[in-house]
Amino acid sequence: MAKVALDDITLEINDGEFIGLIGHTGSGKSTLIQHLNALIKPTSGEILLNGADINADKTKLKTIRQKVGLVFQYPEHQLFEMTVYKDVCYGPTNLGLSSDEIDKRAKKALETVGLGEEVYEKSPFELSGGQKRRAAIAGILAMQPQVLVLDEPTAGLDPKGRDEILNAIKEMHKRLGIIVILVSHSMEDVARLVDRIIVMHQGKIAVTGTPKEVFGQAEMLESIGLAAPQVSYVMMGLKEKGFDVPADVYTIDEATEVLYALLKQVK
Amino acid sequence: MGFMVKSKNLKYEYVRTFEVNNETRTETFLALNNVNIDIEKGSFIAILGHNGSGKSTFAKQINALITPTEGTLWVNGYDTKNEEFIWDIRQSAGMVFQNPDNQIVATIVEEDVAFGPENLGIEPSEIRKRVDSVLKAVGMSAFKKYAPSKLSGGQKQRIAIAGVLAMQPKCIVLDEPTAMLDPEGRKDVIETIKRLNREEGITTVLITHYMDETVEADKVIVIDNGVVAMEGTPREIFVQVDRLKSYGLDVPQVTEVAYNLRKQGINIPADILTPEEMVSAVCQLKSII
Repeated sequence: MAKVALDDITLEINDGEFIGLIGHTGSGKSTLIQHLNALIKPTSGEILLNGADINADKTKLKTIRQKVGLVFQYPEHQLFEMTVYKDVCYGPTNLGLSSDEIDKRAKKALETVGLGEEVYEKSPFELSGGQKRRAAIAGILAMQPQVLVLDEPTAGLDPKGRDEILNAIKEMHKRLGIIVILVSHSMEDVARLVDRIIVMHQGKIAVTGTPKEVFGQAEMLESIGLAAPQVSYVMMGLKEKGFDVPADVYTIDEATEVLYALLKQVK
Repeated sequence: MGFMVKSKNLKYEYVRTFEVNNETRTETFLALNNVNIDIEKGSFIAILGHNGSGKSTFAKQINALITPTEGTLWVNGYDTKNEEFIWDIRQSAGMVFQNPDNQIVATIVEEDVAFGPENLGIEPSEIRKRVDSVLKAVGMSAFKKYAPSKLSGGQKQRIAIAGVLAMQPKCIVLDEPTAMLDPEGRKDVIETIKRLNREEGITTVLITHYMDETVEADKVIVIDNGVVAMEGTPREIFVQVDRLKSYGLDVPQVTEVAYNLRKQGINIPADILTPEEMVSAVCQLKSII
């Protein structure tokens, strides 16, 4: 029996957008991102990159995959070279670039993810978990993609490693101005980074909108196995008790501000 | 009440091998330094610490996968350095690791759960009873004929827990059991762990990065650089926001909000751990006005 993994997905992503893609396991988000660089072809429908169907010409697949960089889960498992520097050079070398250009790209990519010269000659296996993962992301960046897709880049990291990665991604988005698509289970992480959220459920887009719009619908998120950030529930609880607070608060700073305004007379 | 796990001046050193400029070098690394931890029978303990802090090394000590270089560790009264007791220790304390795929050996769920007791040479009829009862305990009875590969991460992890339970351990050590799971899978696994602790009285040692999973623990232990850096109830630990951050750890979002408000002069309790507590604290303060 054929199973429909993605159903009637209509979606536009604009230049420079930072997208958060969320959904529980099996919702179709990994299947969707594998379509974006033609690892999987749609059964019906099409995917346009800069207006052109990416599956129209098989001989162009290499270019498509260079333009749409995909960072898989646990990307550090794909590090294999003797040194960090060589590992990052691997992709551009296969593009047949000049050695000057390769060197320039590798150094820029490493700098963008916050890895300095002191790690260039280290073995990737000597690095910490967060550093390894940033080295793996640099390898994709060195291909100079226009779209960068990251599948759960913080899975398995400790809070410090997580913050390192997220800060590197944020900085990278700001500096390069490319489209970044972040697949994540963590609503807290998505809340503080992205411009727009796409929520997947059973192969369809359940809802899309700014973090404010999406996290304002905590009940709907729960009904599909997700949750809003913790502070959203504080606001909902307060509203139920009759307090006039906004429902769409989802970061620590915003919640502090709202509660301070509410409580300052008590000081 | 006695101790399930007790360590006295535990030190653990190992030799690290690494390559520099194609030369192999070695150095001695002190992973645990003078660790004194007491875990009472039937309690639920959470161990926190960033990657490389030594918390997993401590977990492996409980299962006698490694033994102290200096000092002593007793598990269920057995000294882990005494090889005579190694099987008693491993049967007393079962372990669950981060990646469920690495812990599942059979192609059918119930056969996987039976693997441990079969190796203990237990009667088939008794194995049947145990498998049924532990699958029920983790809420996976309906899946007993399934192939583990057809299950979600959270379901697989509950099968791994069932496999450990089938050995009837007194203590279960879980090393980041939810790190690879989605929010729903995490919730199922954590609820299962808490229920087993509460209802079956199994001593539980949960190692995690997720602070919200530790809110209901009897005791939280923070390990940093191989030493016990903090120890106390979740409330005692989480109010120390700056200190936790200095160890590379997080606090729940609402605890951090309470901390920020206190810094701005609002007299809200520091030990708020859940959204419900925050809501009732705000209500209380407002009723004073």
